[in-house]
Amino acid sequence: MEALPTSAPITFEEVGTERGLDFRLEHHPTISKNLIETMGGGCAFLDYNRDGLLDIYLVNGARILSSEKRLAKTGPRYWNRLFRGDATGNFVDVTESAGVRGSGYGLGVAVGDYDNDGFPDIFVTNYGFNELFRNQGDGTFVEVGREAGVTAGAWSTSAAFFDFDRDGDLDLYVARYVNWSFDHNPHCGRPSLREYCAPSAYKGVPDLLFRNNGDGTFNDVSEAMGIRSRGKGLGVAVEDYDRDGWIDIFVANDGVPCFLFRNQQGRGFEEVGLLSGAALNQHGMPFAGMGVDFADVNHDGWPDIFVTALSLEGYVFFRNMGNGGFLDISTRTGIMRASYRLTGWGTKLVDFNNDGQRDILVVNGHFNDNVAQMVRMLGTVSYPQPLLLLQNRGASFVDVSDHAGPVFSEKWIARGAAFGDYNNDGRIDVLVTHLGGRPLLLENRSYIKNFHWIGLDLMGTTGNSESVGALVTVTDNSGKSQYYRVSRAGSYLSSNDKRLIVGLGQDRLDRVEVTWPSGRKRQWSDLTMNTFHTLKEPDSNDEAAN
Amino acid sequence: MMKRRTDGCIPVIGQALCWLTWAFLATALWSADENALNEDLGEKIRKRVAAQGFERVEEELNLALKADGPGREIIESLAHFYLMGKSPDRVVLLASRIADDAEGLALRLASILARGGFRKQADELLVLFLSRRRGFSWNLTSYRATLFNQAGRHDRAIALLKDTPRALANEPRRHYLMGIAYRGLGRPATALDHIRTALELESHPDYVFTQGLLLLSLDRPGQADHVFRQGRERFPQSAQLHFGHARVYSAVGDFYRAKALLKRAVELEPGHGKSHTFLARMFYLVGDWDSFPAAIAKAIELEPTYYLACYYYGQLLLMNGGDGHQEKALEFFRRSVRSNRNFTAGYIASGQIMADQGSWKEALDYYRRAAETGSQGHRVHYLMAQAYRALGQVEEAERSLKKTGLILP
Repeated sequence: MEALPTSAPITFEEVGTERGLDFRLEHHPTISKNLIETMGGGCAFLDYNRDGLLDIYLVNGARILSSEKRLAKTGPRYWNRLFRGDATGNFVDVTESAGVRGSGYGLGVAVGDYDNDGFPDIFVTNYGFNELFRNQGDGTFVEVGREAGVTAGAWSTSAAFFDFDRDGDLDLYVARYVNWSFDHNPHCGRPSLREYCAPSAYKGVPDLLFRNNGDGTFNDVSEAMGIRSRGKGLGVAVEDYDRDGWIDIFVANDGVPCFLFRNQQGRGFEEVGLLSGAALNQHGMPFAGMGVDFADVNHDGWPDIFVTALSLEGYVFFRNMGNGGFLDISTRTGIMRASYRLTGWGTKLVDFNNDGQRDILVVNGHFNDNVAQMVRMLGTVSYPQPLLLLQNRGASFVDVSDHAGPVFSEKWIARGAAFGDYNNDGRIDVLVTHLGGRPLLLENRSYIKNFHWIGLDLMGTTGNSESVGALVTVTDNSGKSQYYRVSRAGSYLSSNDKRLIVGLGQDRLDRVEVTWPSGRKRQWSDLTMNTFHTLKEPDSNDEAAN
Repeated sequence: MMKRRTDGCIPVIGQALCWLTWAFLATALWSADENALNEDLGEKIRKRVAAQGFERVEEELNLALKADGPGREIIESLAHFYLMGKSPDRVVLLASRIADDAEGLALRLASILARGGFRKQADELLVLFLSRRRGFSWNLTSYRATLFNQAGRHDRAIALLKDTPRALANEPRRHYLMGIAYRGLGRPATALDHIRTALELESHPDYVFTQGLLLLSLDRPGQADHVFRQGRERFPQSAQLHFGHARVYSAVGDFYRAKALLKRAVELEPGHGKSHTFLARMFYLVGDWDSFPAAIAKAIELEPTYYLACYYYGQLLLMNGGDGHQEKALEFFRRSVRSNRNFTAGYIASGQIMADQGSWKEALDYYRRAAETGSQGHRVHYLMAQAYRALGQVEEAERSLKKTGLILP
């Protein structure tokens, strides 16, 4: 299928350096091929100072001292970085003053207001221990991981804040990967060509679920809640796949079946990945699940799942059949064909041109830096790889990468990706990290003049302040409804803007209905289009009824 | 020594098809015989029937039989005519019309029947013919053994081959057919002994090819590589040996060399449908979507009923999308399993389309048939579980899942 431009083309321009993102992802590759070197790092869009402008957090690696078997952030080049967005659209490095440079070999980041003070906090996953930076509301953060009880151990990757028990505060799910260590770092590949090992060389490590106690601390309730299986987790996304009002968890596992944890009304989780058909690809095979998103693509109200994979596997698109099951339809939707040679990480199902259809962007790059020398891959797979943009055409997705801007014609060793409208123009932009390089800030320049949109920022009153978990139904004047969930989770090691931008195409807005995690609902039918609105959770059911 | 992947398979879709080495072997070995058949007469008869009608052609053929006697052309025309009318038993009866010394004609009629899917009747015809004449015929016996092997009746093939005169003990084709039969019975080591004996008696590309693929199936890709390398040196113009060697590289994941060998195979023999099919498959495995469509289109043109060509052509249709693409793809997946009833991937692909359309009962039927092929391990049970769950049979679904062995600790 040839990639064709459309009447509503999606285009991006890379503006990271020009906007002041002075950062380099230091993954510190070595001849020892320590697996962590090729797996980081994440990034986040957040508004930490609540000035209405998105800020950026970038996770960094550390120096790898193989002989000493330790990892150390030995200088500023290895610091994680916080960039404050200013009114001119530029970013200013505030890492030192904010106190968020981190101290481990960083992998991922999850953002959430866990203490419900209205200011988003930052959770950083590292190899060995995790950090939680509590936002003090004055532009500074304090690291409270140990006191909060979320440092965990082993190798954490992606994480997600969400309220699994609907008690009003944000709980935390942490995916964990494999039992790699300096002492367990086998030689893979030919004697003369050492490669990073595939995950099959290691054992998986069980993921963790932390329940928020509401007092600034968490309890590890993984075992009690049924999070027991040893996967090889890399990506996490949350949604209510069976529409029972309780948020479920999907974990993209690398090389072993993916997990779908069905939330049993906050009392526990049942792993139903295999039973529901969301564990293996269309060939019934485990695949290298990495980045993931969980959202309703076909407007039937049932959230679908998109998962990236390794080159020569093809990315996986699980259609939610609405009967508790999923079916991988990546071949007939054009996804398999477009993605087959790529190794994908950060991703999200986003309506980039506001035509009312969610598109897919994936950032790519193989995990082995010497893949081009591997005989079987000759001429087929490269280490740096282009970004992939798939435009939703209803029944299928079309690869429009070639028409999406010069940045799409270059190749990157990309990993993390966060999605958010940094310049508040109603078009969702993309932040991308790539190994050994500066981050890319893809400013969305899609022509949307003929298309309408509405931006929504939800505020919780009885539940979590960010309304994470709220279901938003946007209905246009043709009667078509779109379903969005407030969540920062998804992608790979990254955290997204919590605000929603819903494209309406040429239709006009009829109404917006929000169901908060508390169960309260409210409908608006007088919102103006093409701007942002803050929607507040009603204080009582009476108000909701009004 | 070449290193085979630890799972013995090729990745992704190829993994699904790794078991096909033997399914392929079972069908590929007779291609030379079948390609030799002259289809002109059959085509002529079809045209005559289309132009003149069935009854008129029958009348003319019977008149010719009376006037000219049972000549080769008349007999063969009648065979084609009867098969058009789905009357294989009448073809069998033509055996009585064949002159005792017209062994070639008997073979030809048997071939016509076999190609029409009437192997049993083909064998009956040969038995009838043999019963009328005295003496032993190695040609007819070996063809009967071939038919038994094709029909999966390997015991019968072995019995027949063992019951040959002592003078034929060193007949290389006898050992070759024994090898095929033993492999069909799941005794690859014995099969290999026979093929080696055949090769000691006669160096023939068919035997080299079979030996190489046998070694591959025994998880000895290094030896298979050596056999094909030597074979290609001796028979440098053999497309079949280039093809076989490509299979070895493909199995060890060296798609680069496999592709080069397959390209050479189709240069050497542009009509070698299986090489085109595997070349298309190679393009598919490495995601070369520019080359895949033309290669698989050529393959399906050359071998419209070859199950792998049908399968990958179905995949192309599915990928291309468009109106009714699922139905069109389904038609080819169905054709693939009609052509090879043990082709698990064809059933699975058919089932997936049914499931996508919400026809879970039909999907389950396909998955069950896939399970009956006895291969693919956890895949089929996983898919069956989805179908059972969708049909509300949760206990059955859980039972199927347990069979996958994939439930993690």
